[in-house]
Amino acid sequence: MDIHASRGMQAGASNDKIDAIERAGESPLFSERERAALEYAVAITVTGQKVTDELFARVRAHFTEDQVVELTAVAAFENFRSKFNVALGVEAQGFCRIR
Amino acid sequence: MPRVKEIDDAGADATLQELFAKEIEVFGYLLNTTKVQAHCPPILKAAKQFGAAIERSGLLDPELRALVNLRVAIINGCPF
Repeated sequence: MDIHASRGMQAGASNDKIDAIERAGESPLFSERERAALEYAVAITVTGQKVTDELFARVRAHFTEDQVVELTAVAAFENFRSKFNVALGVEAQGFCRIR
Repeated sequence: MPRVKEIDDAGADATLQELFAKEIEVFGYLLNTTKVQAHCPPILKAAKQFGAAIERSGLLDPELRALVNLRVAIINGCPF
């Protein structure tokens, strides 16, 4: 758990949803819109994966072009943050709970 | 402990003085990432501005943004 998940809970994401996030594709807790966004974020993040045209089309079905740009920035910037913290051993802040 | 020294004294650096004061006002203390990025004040400032810009952009609901952040952080093994 971290500051972003902490904000997520403040923003309405339940503990159950946060716990299930790695299985969002199969979890009824997530909407198709959320699933598309999370799958997109995974494809951006995992080395060797790419955003396919099929996945992008699925994302576009749920988000405007403007929203897609923001979504991409969110995922890419979190990659900056989390890779930075892991490389330099920056410690968790202790928000809410430890995963 | 992080691999570089944590900086929690802004010293004479005007950028750090401003950013540290703002963060202490918001959180009550300095975030660990801040104390590390403080080695490079322009980078700390830009990173904070980028984060703020995303929030200001505001085209996605905060819950979805937070879920995406969490998903990415888990993949990267980030405790944050």
